[in-house]
Amino acid sequence: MTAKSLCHFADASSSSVSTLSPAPISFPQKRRQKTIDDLYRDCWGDLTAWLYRRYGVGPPEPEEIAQAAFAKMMEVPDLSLIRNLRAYLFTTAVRCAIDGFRGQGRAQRFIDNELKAHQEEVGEITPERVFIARQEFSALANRVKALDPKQREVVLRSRIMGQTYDEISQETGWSKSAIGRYLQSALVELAASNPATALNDTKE
Amino acid sequence: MNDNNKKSTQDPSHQAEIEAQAAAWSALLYSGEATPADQIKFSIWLKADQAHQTAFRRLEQTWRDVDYAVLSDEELSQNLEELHPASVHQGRPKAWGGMIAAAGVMAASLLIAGAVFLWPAQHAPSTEYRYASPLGEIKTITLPDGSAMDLGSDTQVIADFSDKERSIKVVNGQAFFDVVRDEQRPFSVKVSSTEVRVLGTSFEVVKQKSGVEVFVVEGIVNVLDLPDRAPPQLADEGLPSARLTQGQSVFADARGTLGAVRPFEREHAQSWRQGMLVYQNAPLADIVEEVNRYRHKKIELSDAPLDDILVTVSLPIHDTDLLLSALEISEPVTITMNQDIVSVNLNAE
Repeated sequence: MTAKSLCHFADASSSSVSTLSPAPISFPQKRRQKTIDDLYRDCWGDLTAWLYRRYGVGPPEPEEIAQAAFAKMMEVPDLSLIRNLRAYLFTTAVRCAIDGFRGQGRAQRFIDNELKAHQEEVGEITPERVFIARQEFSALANRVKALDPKQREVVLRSRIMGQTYDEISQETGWSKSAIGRYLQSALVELAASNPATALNDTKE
Repeated sequence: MNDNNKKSTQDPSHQAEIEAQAAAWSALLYSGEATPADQIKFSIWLKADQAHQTAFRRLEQTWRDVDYAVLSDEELSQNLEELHPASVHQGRPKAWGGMIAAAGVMAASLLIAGAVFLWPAQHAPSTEYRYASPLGEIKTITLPDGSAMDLGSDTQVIADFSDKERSIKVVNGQAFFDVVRDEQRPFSVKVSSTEVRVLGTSFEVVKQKSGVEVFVVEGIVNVLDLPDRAPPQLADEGLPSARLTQGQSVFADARGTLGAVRPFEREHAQSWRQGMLVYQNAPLADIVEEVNRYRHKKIELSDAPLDDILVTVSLPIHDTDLLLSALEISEPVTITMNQDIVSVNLNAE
């Protein structure tokens, strides 16, 4: 989807809107469009600039990732549950980016398939999970902060920036075996009290 | 995902060993160094023991949750900002900067001017509480002031308590409140454009597609139609409102416009809390809407005349399929189970 069509989708007065949504727009849909519209206006520039700083010129290009992220946001059923829309948008963009990095996306799909073969599934980021598990996510953030700085850097580079050991090694000068050690020990520490397991045990 | 404790009886050192193995596999698989042979070895390891599967899935969940955890945290976002992408040195930042600026201008010129979007302010964490019930279950919760709250299936609620007020927002679903009286701290429940205010009483609110329904079981409540834009004022004598007493209910549409105050069947409003959904001569469309909140596989009425059929039925919340059996016996309908929906069709004459 191009930037232009995204904008038109958000602009109810535009003539193209009738072809996109022929049914009368109900009140919540209108409000939801306004939220996307506002998010687009406030975050498009920030997001593309941020993606450029995190991932460079690509491919995938920052604008491609941003557009994919906005397209995904439009499919989110209940935006009102999300307290921090900006973080949610940026996370969605990171996931689109990871999907676009050939190696990382492939690894993730391979893992999903392997787990599915044993009826195990990894929960996606959804408004419901973000809503219910807010405290668990912030506990996880605290565990990331508590990591040794080298461990933390490897986690951020690997998970969010999608870098391989080779790339991390080039950037930091650390050996690949050291990077592997940092990452493994960090994973053990982060999973020590897994937020996901608390998802169905809501407060109380 | 309630199977995390399948093998929790493992001895701790063995468990730690499995977790370390899971971490080693995860690190390798995302390293960019994994060979096809490694992938096969991983498959064999995963298959070998259910404890491996559980440990790996938990680890993988944590790993994938890291991005949202980091991005919703200011300090970590800043840490991330200081790292360089691997490919930036080969790129041409200036040209890209220009292109990004151009994209910004394009976006701005295409959008009509509007209000500035403000990110939700951070509330003091000590006063905000969030509650949610899973689909198909009812949860009883004691609020910080001692009031009781029962949540129907798939309900999310935010409670914001301060010295001056007790304020609840029902984001989705159905909730019953038994409120402890506190004249210094009014208790209010907001659902869409409707607000219910009480001092101490028991009542129920149900958020539906078409609006909000309020039932009063005991005491007196005020139901207000909130203005669309402005935040609710403290002095709101001017707002349209309805005063309900025991045994009365009112329906407010999605914009908050209040209908007439009516008596209600006490049995219906209360029964879900005992795990039953009870209807007496209720339109089928209303029943299906409520029943669907308790079901993974939703029911869909395919023909409009079905909406208005009046039905009397009692359904346990864990076995709402009984509604389908009852319909099949008493009405000229055909029921089709699809992968993610159950459709009810009127038979052709």
